[in-house]
Amino acid sequence: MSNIEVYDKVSWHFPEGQNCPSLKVAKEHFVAVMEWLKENNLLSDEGKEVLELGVDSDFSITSSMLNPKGNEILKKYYLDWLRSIDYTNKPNLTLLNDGLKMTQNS
Amino acid sequence: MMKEILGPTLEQMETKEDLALNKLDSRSDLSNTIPDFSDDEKNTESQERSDNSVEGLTVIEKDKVREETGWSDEIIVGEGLKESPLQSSIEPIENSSLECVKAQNELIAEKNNVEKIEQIEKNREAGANREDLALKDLEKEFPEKEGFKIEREQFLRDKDGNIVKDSETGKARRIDFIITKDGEFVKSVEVTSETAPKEVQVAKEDRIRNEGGNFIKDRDTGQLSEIPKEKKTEIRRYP
Repeated sequence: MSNIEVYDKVSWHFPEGQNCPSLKVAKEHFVAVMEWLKENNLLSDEGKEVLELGVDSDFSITSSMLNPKGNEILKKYYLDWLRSIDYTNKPNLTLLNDGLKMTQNS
Repeated sequence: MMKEILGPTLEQMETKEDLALNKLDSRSDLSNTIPDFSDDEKNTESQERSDNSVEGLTVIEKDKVREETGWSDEIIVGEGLKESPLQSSIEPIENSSLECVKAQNELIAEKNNVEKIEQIEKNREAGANREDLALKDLEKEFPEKEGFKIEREQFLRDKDGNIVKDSETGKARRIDFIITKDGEFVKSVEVTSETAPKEVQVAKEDRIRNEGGNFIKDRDTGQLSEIPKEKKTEIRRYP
């Protein structure tokens, strides 16, 4: 099997998830993290191609979309970041930024 | 209650008051001697009942009333009425109850906030668990040792390998699981929850398939595999 890891998926939040009011809300943290990954040069060629298509109901973040540094960051910090955000507020990227700095300094 | 606090019975007070009043002339005659009681003094029960005559007594008249009635100065002038034991207990009870309610409200708000924050991760985890279950089932049905290959998150592409977008929505179609064997397409599977609607997604896939999106690309080899026209993506539901 092609061994890719699926970090997250829009459909897991809407329509499958609980207390996520709309597709628009479900997509918000995906848009935020993908833009952040792009700005910090953490996407692979596949990731850049997928991001060009836009974040929609079929969107997912997979390990094949990230370069090795991107995978290192998301493996370490993605779940903690998810736990720090909610559907009602704009996603705060502080935790990911801090994680990136720590990784760069180590 | 008041009579218990003040001592004399109401009957006694009335009687003594009458006595006190009888000792005094009518109000008009008292105009020069009626002392100017404060509002607190005026609000005592005894003062209310004898308002017309006892109000405004001089020191001399107060002494007279005291002598006749046996009332204390406090009763006469209505000063120094102390809080009952019950009254003195009420305020701390009220305050502690209010504090309890406030603390409870803060706890509830904090709990709601924590639940709100955890919901995104809970939904991610539930979705990931469904797909893990689906993958385990597919690995049993299509074992690797028999030559099957399971790919995840594959886009529908055209014969040239380009991702095909739905003409109606402008969006691409990414399928959860694709099973191939020896480079040939075997099956495509979409995983979802037990209740999530899938009609919109199915309709999008049908349109893309009709518009030439009938290929998937092997990530490892780059090889394109064609999906036979009659093959439709199976939807599998998990809790």
